[in-house]
Amino acid sequence: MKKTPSLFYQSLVVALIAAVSALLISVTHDLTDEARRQSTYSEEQKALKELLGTNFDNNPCAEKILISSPDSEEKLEFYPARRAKTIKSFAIKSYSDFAPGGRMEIMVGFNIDGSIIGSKILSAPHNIIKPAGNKASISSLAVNDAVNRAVGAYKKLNSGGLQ
Amino acid sequence: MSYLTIFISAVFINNIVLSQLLGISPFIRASQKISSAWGLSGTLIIVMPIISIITSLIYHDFLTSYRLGFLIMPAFILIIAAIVQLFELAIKKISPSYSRTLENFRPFLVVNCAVLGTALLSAQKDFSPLHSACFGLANALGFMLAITLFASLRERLNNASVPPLLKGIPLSLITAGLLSMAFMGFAGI
Amino acid sequence: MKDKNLSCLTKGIIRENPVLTMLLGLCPVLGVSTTAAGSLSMGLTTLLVLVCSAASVSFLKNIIPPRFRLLCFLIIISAFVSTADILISAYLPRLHKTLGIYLPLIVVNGIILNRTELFASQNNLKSAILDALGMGTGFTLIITVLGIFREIVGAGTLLGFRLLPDSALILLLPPGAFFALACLFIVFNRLRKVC
Repeated sequence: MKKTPSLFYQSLVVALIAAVSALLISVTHDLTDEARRQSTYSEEQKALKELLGTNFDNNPCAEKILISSPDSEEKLEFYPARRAKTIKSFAIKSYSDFAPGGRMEIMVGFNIDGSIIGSKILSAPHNIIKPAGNKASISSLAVNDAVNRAVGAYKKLNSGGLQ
Repeated sequence: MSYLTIFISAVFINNIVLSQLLGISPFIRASQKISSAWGLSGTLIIVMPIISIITSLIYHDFLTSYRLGFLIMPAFILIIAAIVQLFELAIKKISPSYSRTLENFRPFLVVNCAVLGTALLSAQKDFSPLHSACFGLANALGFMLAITLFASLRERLNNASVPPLLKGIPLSLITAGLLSMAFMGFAGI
Repeated sequence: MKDKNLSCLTKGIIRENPVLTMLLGLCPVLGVSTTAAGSLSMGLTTLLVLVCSAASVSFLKNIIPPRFRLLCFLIIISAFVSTADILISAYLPRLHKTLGIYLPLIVVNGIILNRTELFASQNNLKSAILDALGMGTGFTLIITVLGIFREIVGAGTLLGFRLLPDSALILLLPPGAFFALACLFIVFNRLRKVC
C-alpha cells in the first residue's frame, strides 16, 4: 500500500504545475508581442485608407486616442488624419452588440466638419454581416447602432471643447 | 449603460443559450426533467453573480493593473472552480439533502460555457464589478427562462407520438431551434 | 497489440464520436459552424489543444495528487488554450476575430476534460495521444460537416466561392444551428441502424 503524500507536498505539485503553465503563457506572449502589434494595426490601416483616401501624411494609428462613448463606460478609438500637421479628417472605431452572435466593430470616417464620409466593417461575428441595405436586416440595425454611437461620441467630444 | 438595459438585453435579446449559443451541453443534458432544470438554474442564479463580481474585481484590480491580461483564462477558470467548491462546502453544512442533487450538477457548474462566457464577456465589455454582477444574474435568469421553457416542452413531447427517426435528440434540437427563433423576435426592441 | 492501438485511434471518429454519442462540446459545434473555413480551424485548434493536454496529463499522471486532480487538469488545459489563443491572435488575427469568444471557451469544451480525466489520466502516453487524436478528429469532422452544410445552404457559398444563386439566411442564425445539428443527428441515427 502506497503512503499518500502530505498535503504540503500535494500543494507543492499543484503550485509547480501552475507556475510552469504561467511561464509557458507569458513566454509565448512576450515572444509574439511584436507580431500582434503589427497585425492588429494592418486591418485598421487598410480601413482608414479606404475611408479617408490618401489625403493624409501622418500615421493615424500611432496617434490614436481614446474618447468616451455617449452611452457606456467603454472607450472608443479616435484616429486623427493630418496633412501638414493640421487635422483634415478623422475616423472613429465604434461597435455594436446588436449583431447576431456577438460584437461587431466598425470604422466610421468623418470630414472635419463632422459629416460622415462612410463606414467600413472591421470585424463581425461569424462573417455573416453584409453591408447595410442587404437582406440581413438585423445586421443593418447593428451598423446603424454602431454609426450612431460614433456620431454621438464625436458630438460629445466636440461639445467638450477638445479639438 | 444602465442596469435595466444590461438586464433586458441579457435575458431576452441576447439570451445566453438561445442566441449566444453558450452553455448548450447543460441546456440539453439537464432538461430531461423540469425538476433537474430548476435545480441547475437555481444554483446558477446564486453562483453566477458571485463569480461575475469576483472575476471582474480580479480582472480590473489585479490582471490589468499589473499588465497580466494574458493570464485571464487560467485565472478565471481557477476562480470558478474555487467558488463552486466553496459553494458546495457551504451547502453541505446548510442542507445535506440538497448537496446530493448538487453533486450531479458539478461538471455543469465548473465546465460550463455559460459561466466562463459570462465572465469573459463582462471583462471584454469592460463592465464595472456591479455591472458584471447584474450581467451575471441576468444571464443566469436568461438560462433559467430558456431551460424552463425547453424542459416543459420536452416533458410534453415525451408523450407525443413522433416518427422514430426523430425521437430523442433530433426532436429536442428542433424544439430548441424553434425556441431560439421565437427569441429572435426580441431583437427588434 | 497493433489492433488495440488502431481501435484507440479510430473509435472516436464515428463509433464513439464525442459529439454524437456523448453530446460533448456542443457550444462550439453550434456557435462557430457558420463557415466551412472557420469550423475547420476551430476543429483543428481543439484537436491540437486536446492532444497536448492529454499527453501532458498522461505524462504527469503519477505525480498529480488525486485530491487536486480536477484543478491540475484545468490548469494544464487552460495553459494550452491560452497559448493557442495568443499565437492565433498574433499570426492569424482574422481567424481570431472570427472565432471570437469561442476560442477561449475551448477550455470548457467537455470533450477535453472528459478525455483527460477518463482516459489520459489512466493510460500510457501512446494510447492517450492516439485516443486524443481520434476524438479530436471526430469533433473536427462533425463541426466541419456542419460548417460546410450551413455555408452552402445559408450563404450559398463554399469557402467564399458562390455555388447557389439564392440562400436561406436562417441557417446562419442561431436557430439554424439547432436545425442543422438535428439533421446531422437524423442522418447519424439512420446510418447506425443500417450498419
